[in-house]
Amino acid sequence: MKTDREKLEALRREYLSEELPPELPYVVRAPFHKRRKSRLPQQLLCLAACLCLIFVGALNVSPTFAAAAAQLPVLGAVAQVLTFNEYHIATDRELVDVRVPEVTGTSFPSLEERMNEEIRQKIDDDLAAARERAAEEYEAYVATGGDPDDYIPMMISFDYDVKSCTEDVLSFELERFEVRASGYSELTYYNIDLNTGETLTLPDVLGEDWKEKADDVVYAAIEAHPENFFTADMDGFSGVNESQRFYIDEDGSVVLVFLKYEIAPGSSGILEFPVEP
Amino acid sequence: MAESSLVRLQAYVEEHQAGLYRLAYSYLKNRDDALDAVQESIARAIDRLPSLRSGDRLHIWMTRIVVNECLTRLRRRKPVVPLEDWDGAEEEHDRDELWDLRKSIDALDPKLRTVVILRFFEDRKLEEIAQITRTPLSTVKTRLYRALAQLRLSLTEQEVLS
Repeated sequence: MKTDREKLEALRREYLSEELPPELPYVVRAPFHKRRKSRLPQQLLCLAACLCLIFVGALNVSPTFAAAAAQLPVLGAVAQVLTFNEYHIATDRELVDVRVPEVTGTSFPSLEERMNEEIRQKIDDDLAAARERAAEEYEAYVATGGDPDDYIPMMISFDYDVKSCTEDVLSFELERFEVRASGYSELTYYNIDLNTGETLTLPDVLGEDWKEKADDVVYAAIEAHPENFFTADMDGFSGVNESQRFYIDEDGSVVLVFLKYEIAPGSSGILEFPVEP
Repeated sequence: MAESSLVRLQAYVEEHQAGLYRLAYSYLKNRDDALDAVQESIARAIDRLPSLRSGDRLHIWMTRIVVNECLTRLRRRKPVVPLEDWDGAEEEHDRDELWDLRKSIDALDPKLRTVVILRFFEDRKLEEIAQITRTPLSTVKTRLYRALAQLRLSLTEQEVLS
């Protein structure tokens, strides 16, 4: 027979071992997403409603405007990258800022869905891995006698940048930025042909001799300032391949991107080389 | 609303999500209801964030919101007989020596039950329970002893308080 004290203790263990539903983390986070998301769309909707009002008004009153509007090829469908949601986490170990992009308005809903899901998944996975690193570092710091009050949390951010958005091409960058002793950016690029819904590759944008064109530009830059680059025998640049990072800028130029340490010492930072098409 | 207090609240609930869920589950005894209650409590907390003063302790404040949410839900619930209380189902249940105590705690008046859950399962101090439930410390003590009497538990003063 257990004593009363032991019975209560057993019930407490039962209480503490209650299985947690796997969706709990999402349930906990959802109200914050909703709250942060709710402000912007309302303003946008309001703005859109105003524009429609003005537009309808103009169609009604101005025959010239109505005639001009009739010649517009497409009304509405404009590809763009919007902020799907934004959130922040602050603990002793890390400060996290996340802005999740979302592609909308292309003529390819399934591409959008797939791409947006892939981006969200990538951010979730990368963030989880980064937070794990942050926790390990913090524990190592405390375990080796560091004062938790003096600890500088790891900064982790996810953000995006639209490089270009025309009728034919949408090109944007997804950045994961981490600050420890020094900053490091991991960049992922998305280049979409808005006419076909396909992802653009270097051969698509530079033509058959894409490799020569790209290599020439990089080798020319290395030759001009060899001191800023790793040499070939030090794991330096040895030619581009299919997975080369690039984006398409406002002028339609293809810009090759190399991460910090990829082909040059950290002091050179992130390197960009425009290639003439 | 200050973004910094929102960040603080989010960090708190993310870190203590297991505790918030268990607390809700201990009242509602149903996984989906408990998840709903946690989500609703957090939404309420965000709404009421402007009323949180800088000196207020988040764990007292947040626990109070969850407890009140669960009590409201229990009041709204139609009195139902849980399935396992029907004949037959009972036999299959493991009627260990904790069974009676578990049932008696669930049958306590919600105010008494809150004190028992917070004191013995959440391991909160009586002073904290007074702050969470916004009742005088003497009332918390009275409720605790009444609860123990109804549960026919005899604990020493030291076991009750520490």
